Amino acid sequence: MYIVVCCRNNLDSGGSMFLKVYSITILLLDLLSLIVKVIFAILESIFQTFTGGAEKSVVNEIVLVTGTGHGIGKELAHQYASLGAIVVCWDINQEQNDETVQELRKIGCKAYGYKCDVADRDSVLALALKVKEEVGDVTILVNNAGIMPCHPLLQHNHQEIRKIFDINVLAHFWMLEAFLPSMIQNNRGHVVALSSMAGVMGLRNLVPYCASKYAVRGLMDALNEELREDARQIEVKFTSIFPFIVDTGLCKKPYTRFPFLLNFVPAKKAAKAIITAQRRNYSEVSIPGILLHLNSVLRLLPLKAAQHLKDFIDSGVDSDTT
Amino acid sequence: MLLRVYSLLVLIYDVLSLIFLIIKASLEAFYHVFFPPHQKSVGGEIVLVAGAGCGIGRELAIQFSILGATVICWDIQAGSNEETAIKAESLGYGAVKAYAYTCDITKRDQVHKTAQRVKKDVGNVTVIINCCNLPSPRVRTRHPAPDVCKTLDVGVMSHFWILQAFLPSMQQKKHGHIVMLTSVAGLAGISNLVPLSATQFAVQGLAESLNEELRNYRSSGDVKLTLVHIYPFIVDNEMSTNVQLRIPSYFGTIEPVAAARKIIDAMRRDYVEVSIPGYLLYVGKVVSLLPRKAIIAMRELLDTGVDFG
Repeated sequence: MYIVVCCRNNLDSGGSMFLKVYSITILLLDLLSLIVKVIFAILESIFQTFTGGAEKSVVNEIVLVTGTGHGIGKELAHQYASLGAIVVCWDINQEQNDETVQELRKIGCKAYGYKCDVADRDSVLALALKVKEEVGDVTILVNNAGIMPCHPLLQHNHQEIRKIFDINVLAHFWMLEAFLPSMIQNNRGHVVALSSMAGVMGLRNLVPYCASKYAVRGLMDALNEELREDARQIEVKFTSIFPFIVDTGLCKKPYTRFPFLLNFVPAKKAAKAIITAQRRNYSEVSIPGILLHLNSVLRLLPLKAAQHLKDFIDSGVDSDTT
Repeated sequence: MLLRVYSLLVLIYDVLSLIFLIIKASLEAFYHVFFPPHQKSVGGEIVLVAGAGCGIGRELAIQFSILGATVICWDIQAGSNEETAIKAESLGYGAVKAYAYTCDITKRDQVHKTAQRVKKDVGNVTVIINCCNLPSPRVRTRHPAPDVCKTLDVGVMSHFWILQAFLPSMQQKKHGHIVMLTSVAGLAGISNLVPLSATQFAVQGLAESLNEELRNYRSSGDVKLTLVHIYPFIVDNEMSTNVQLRIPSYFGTIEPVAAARKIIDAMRRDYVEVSIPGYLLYVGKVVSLLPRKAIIAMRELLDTGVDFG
């Protein structure tokens, strides 16, 4: 509901008085319904934290994962396969991707592998048509492929910075361009984007990477908003994932001072958390789950205090060029 | 055994000093609410304003010049840029000069070449502000809407090229200030909402991580950074009479003069992150604690479009 405030110049004083009372009444009703909605949302969220929530089935869903050659992508492919989904694997490395596809077929999954550089818009669009022909409409898209160079900003050369954005951000746009229209048309689908905790807070040695992961967060948020406001009531879901450091070798020199508090996440566990979040239609999930909420709380502290705390916890990545 | 005792002692010391530092920082912040830090002088600084041709860039150039800084104006359009430089120099304090260079900041080699010319002609730049990534009436009415790559080039990549050109000398001299601007104004309802949102978030990520790198375990480094979130839509009078715009931003509009004044004020007080208007930054932080459904309910009421976390 929107508050309508009309220009008073054209109305007589009696009419304008009525309009004022009317507007204020509408405003109060809007505020009241907002308070109710907020309280309800808080209660629902607390309830869900303890009970979890129903996980929708992915049997016979056509899941497309980028970056299935190794790491989180490979684990996701395996776990979706074991849940009965049809898995389409895209990776730039043909050999590793073929290996993944073979492993999936061995456990009885209908798996398809394609070599693709997701930063190249033309090949993404062309390959998408091929997938549509050979497999069908993709119903779950997982944008996982990404690179993570770790060094001080001035040690990044410009081609590297371009590449980070081409793969970590622009690829998402091309994939969405290729697969979102059919999801919207069929009024069903799910897009999962891998951002990072580096997309939630600033970290040393990761300036372009952080910028790219924040961009993923921004694009998913805006996309969600755009479709939510669309009059067609589109049932496509969006999930953004913010993992802490996952032990896939993507970053070469991670460090953490208190492993019992904040440890690197095994790839298997990360994939499981991602799939659970997708099946429960969560919009934003960090791995471990509490980090996102912790970040929101810590942002209330004065900046210097938060910085001291960050320095104390002493976790991040070292430069991989020293 | 001795090592374990030693590490435990170090840990206890660290925890105690952490608690002390947090309390100290909180008290300082509380004090600054009532007694803001004094404004440092910008006299003698060499300020680079990218996007100085019109709008907020022009105002920033003029106001910095009035405060005694040497202003380097960069813009893709030569005419309006030179006008800005002339105006800034004429209004400037004392004998300060203003220089205009035509440069397309999305092209990295142009940025580097122009940066070298600036270094030769004027000297080492000590303050940089990039205004080109803000949503503006120019952006909204452009037909066709700029594509994703262009939006990212202007909004994000340009920051990297400018930083790579000027940050080394700042770090060497252990003196400098980087100002970054973001805005969500008028984001709701435009055709390239998603790319614009991605770029605004990217700039925030860039600013936060760059700040971490610059400060290097001290709570402030030699090269400072200020991130300014501008919530109202920046519209100057000439624009609003010529173009019919529906401004969907709940936060209304602000004139470039006022916005520039607030940005310079924040920069002179070495603030790291501020919003215009000031209270919204804190409101945003509190609101982001709420579950997503609650935030959506609030957005529906206020119609603000996309906002930050």
